[in-house]
Amino acid sequence: MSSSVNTCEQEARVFFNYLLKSNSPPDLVSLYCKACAHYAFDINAKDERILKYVLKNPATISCIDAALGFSGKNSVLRKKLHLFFSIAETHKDLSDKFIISKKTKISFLKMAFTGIASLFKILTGNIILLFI
Amino acid sequence: MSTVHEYIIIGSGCTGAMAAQTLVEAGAKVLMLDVGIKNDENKCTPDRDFLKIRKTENNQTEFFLGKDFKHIPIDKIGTGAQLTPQRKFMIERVSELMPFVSQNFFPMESLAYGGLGNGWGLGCCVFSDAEMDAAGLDKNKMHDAYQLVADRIGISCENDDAAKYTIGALKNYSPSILPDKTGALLLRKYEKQKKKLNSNGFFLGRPALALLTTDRDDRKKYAYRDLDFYSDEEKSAYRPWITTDKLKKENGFEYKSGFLVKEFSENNGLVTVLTQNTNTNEEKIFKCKKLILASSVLSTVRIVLNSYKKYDITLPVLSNHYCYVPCIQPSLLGGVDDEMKVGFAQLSLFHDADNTNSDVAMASVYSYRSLMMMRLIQQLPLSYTDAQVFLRYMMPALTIMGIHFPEAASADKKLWLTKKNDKSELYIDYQFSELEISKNKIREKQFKSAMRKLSCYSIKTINPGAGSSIHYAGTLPFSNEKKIFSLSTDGRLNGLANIFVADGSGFRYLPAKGLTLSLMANAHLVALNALKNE
Repeated sequence: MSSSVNTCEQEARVFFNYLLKSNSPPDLVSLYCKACAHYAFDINAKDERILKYVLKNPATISCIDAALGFSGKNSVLRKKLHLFFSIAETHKDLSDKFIISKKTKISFLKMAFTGIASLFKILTGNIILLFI
Repeated sequence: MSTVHEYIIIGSGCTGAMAAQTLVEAGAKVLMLDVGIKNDENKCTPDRDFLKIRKTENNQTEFFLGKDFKHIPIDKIGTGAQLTPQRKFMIERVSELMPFVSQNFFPMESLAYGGLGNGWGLGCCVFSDAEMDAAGLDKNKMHDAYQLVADRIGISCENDDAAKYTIGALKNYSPSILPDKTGALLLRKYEKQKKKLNSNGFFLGRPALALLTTDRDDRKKYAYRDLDFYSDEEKSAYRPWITTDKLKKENGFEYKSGFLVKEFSENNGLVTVLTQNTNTNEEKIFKCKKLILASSVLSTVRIVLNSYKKYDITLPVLSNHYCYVPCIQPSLLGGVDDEMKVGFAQLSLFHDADNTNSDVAMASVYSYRSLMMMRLIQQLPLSYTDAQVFLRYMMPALTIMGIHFPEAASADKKLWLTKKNDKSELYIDYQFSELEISKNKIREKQFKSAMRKLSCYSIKTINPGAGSSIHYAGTLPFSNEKKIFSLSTDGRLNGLANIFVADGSGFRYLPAKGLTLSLMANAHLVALNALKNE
């Protein structure tokens, strides 16, 4: 197995745990690796360092993603996350993560909490990015 | 000796198809030349609606993301970014075969079978007399032409407050499609606020759409599957290829794909058309008695300028200023996804400040769902997980208002063709005056204020840039002065006897209302004029 396939699989697992926080359908990792083979990402040195860092320290990905979402939308990490997100959104076993089938009363509170947490993540992410 | 065709029509889009139908019905012999790129993406139309596909279909990844995942919206959002895999063929090979340069104009062109009509939002509007005068159209003839085209394509509409801006005096339309939760809620609020909104010049109603709500021949009535951006298999939405497919069965009609028209010349009443085979790059010549250019405005002007070998001469161009405004209806936040959503416009909101049906601005109001979260999530300045929480909660309440503004010509809206290494490139420089910018800003604010009165609140305004309205016109404006690079009122290219233009090249002014019905009505009239001049 080549190292690029290994990296792809590792990325897929990290992204899955981060984005969906549930058990991965078995074909999702292979779909992501197939998709990666079709996209030639233009990876610069900074992108490479960020990718390596999040694979080594998966707990930091939410902060780094938030910081890049705020001020680094063209980074390769965001593009790879988008690729993974798109594939996950079109997977039938994950449809309930994307479609609302039950109205919940706590949604507004959850949104307010998410908004506040986002600010902290953006700040922390920017600090981490300074050292990568 | 090569065949001399009676008529050659260039392009299979809405105007080409309509002109061809008029000619063939009159007994003329027609050859349609087209690049004619077809959709090779997954056309499977599961007999289920969007939600059921999402929940049950195993192979939906290919359906929604395209073969080899090539249609994931990963890069910068620009014109065409929202096209689904099944619509991407519309813009294939355009940058290769029709090179274009601009810093401030972002058009969409098509070389597809059916042209830009494949992605038409189906909105139908009849221009008012004042708008037709300003555009240079013959209003007496246009009234009949509108009705004929409406009968051909099938229109559904309601006789409500928007009707005077949409169907006008048209008859024989079928009932409108049912609104989903987004549209129904806005309509209920409009009834309560109607007086106030009307006094401010705002009129809301159901859009007139080229969409069947009753079966007609082999076309089925709309099935509310929310797959409007993915499939036309049931033909409830009008697409120009429906007309061309039918014409192919007629003796008087021939269709040839794989030919990009480069230029024409006219000598002793005979028209020579030089084409490039898009598969082999070989040149081929076709001859005809009359040529009708219907390849869309920007393509037509390339052909005309190449034919005259006029490089670096500037011509005018028009494109409606367009912006879209995502809005939220708070009472729908966190709601359950509606089983019966519709991808086409839910409502049309018109701003007619002085109630004269001239200088009208138009907003189309859409629900958002079947384009999915992936097309929105990058826009939010948040992490993917946080953005997902927000979007999951917001999407049922998300209402998109796309506003078109009327557009007049000016010296700062221009195009020209240059020739480099035997290849021609089209350049466009499109700049709004300070006055236009401030006028449009004021109107944009008025639209947002009208939506607020309907308890629908804007989140942000997105200006995708000039050209993104996909409405183009005015490059060869109608003129009675017989000037070069203009059209006579019968659609003939001034200075030539047998070359007609059936697309929007002649329109001197672009009303904000949906353009396509007027383009088709004009194309029909141009075809009639071409017949008359035999």
